[in-house]
Amino acid sequence: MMLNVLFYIPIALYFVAMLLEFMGAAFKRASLRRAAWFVLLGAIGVHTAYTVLRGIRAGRIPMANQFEFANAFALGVAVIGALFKLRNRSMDWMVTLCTPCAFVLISYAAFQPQEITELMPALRSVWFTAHIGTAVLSYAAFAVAACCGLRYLLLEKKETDAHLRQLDNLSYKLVCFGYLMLTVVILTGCVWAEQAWSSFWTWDPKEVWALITWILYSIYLHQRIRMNWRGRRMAFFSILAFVFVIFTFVGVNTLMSGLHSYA
Amino acid sequence: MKKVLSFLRSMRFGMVLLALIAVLSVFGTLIAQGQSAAYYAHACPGWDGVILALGLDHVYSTWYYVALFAALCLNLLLCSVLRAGRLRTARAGLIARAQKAGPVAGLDADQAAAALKRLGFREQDGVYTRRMLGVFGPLVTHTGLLLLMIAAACAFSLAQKQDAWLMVGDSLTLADGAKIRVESFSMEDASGRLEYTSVLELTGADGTSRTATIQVNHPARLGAHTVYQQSYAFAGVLDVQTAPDAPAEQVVLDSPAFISLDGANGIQYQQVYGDYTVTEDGQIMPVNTAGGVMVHPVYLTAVIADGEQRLGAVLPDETFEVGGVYYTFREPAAYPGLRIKTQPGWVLPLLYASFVVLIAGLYLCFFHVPAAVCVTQDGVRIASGKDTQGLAESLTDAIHDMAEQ
Repeated sequence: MMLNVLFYIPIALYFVAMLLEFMGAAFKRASLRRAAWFVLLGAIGVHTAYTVLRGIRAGRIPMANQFEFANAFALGVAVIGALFKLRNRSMDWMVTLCTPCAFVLISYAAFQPQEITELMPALRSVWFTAHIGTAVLSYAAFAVAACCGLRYLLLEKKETDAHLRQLDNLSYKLVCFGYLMLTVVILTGCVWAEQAWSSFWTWDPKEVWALITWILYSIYLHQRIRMNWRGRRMAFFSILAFVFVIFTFVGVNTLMSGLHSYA
Repeated sequence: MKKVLSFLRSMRFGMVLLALIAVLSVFGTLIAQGQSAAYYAHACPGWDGVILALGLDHVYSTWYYVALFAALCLNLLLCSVLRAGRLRTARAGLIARAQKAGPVAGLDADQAAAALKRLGFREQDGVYTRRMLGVFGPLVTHTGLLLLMIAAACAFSLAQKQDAWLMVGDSLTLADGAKIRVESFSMEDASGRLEYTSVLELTGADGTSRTATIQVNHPARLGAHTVYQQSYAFAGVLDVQTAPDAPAEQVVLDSPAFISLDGANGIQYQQVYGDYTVTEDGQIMPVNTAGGVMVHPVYLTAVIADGEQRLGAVLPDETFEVGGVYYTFREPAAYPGLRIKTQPGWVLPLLYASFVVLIAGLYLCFFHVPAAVCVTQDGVRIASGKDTQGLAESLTDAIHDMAEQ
């Protein structure tokens, strides 16, 4: 009961931080934005505490179902945003990007079944943490990259070149990190599937959509590195690719059945 | 010929192949795979002909899907050969790029030299370099991917799988003479948690024997075979006695069977169900449960006596006397479904090695980016494998930091 209450506190805090940040940006009030930043830090603190407590109660990494993954995904997005802001104090806009994203994700989690269930035998593996943990990191990085892309498109005509270049580079770096993590997700999944199901690749919808996402980001990276695509096109691309990430996460679990149906 | 080769190894060709693979894969997830023609006629009226004609009912094994992967392998191979050829000059090429680049405005040569050392650059003849191992990144990545696809193709084509349902005490002899015998099977661990565990006696082709415990995620190796805990099922258990106090002979039933001592009177066993409901008139109606779990097991049987057949549901521990023989159904017994996979021993190590190579390559590409900086009195010139402008900014920041200190 206590744990359930604790879950709703960060939702409220993310919402408040989002409002303060938007108001601060709209009315150009630095004090509001500073308040938003502290509220966001509070939200991350409570959110982390909730996730850790849930993990302790469950006796495992709390990422075993749709609710837990969405919860960790939201926390990942908020933490990435906060880390960038901590590293570079001028990145106030990171709070503007990450807070709504974390709020939407944790709100999605709130609509999922929240009870703590015992892991089914197939999920009790040493690969569980590596596979799911890297998936959270990968998805969170792609989410923030897409947010950077969105900001780029929204402010393309208003912002300075330097800021747009910063957004473009940051989005690219996040995609690089997310891509590496997504590769690890797929490969650890292969090793795990080989042990659990006797086949490293079963053409399960989740696997196939992860592959499709991986292909999309591969194209993104090649276009960027070899064809020198920059700016608007890359911003569009990162948003489009993230739509596929979200479909892999939500759409596949909702619309398709397969070996990952428990997720 | 040169033009064809150039096209086959081009990035554009590789990207088109990747995009086509992605599009076809989408079809594979939207259209149910491996169903009957009747299914598609019912599920996709009007489109079933197209689906079957194009092989969209088994996309992942169609010739064109496989051909796309083969073409991608060729593309990667040619691209890697080209990269390997250029590798000897890659380092020199990066330095030459730096030497040819325009000088970065506002950077003092002496300050830049000090800042570069602070940023981890090594100096040789006025040229500062860093992370030159990174020039191998793209080649290592593409080689890893190529290896992965070759290993995956080997794994798919060389692996042979066999499913076996073995009752406790039963054994299975494989083609090479290796033998698997089930000693016990349980569905819960000591703490009562769901855990499918089979204890097996594994005898190799050379006759050596050992006991192995397998669970989901914990298969056992037996020479070229790997034995997986794949599934489980329940069998009916029937005690047969010639008198109420006579010793019982136990019969385990994993399929419909007629049990009789005289060949005419006896029990026709059909199936054991996991649960049942009771109708208003008191009839027991067997019900299937999710995963076949035995909640309240019930047997569907027919008693055959004097040429008459009486079908009904029977609960465990009920006894029937038919033609002077006593039949008592007991609690059903669980038994494991094993999967035995046979493949050459080198396939998995090759596959896993390709994983490591791929990850190492990506790490080099993204986090070990090579850079070269030429520092002369007429300016500081920079070339980076990824973000030259970013490096120039880092250098400027480092100079400012040093000045502040």
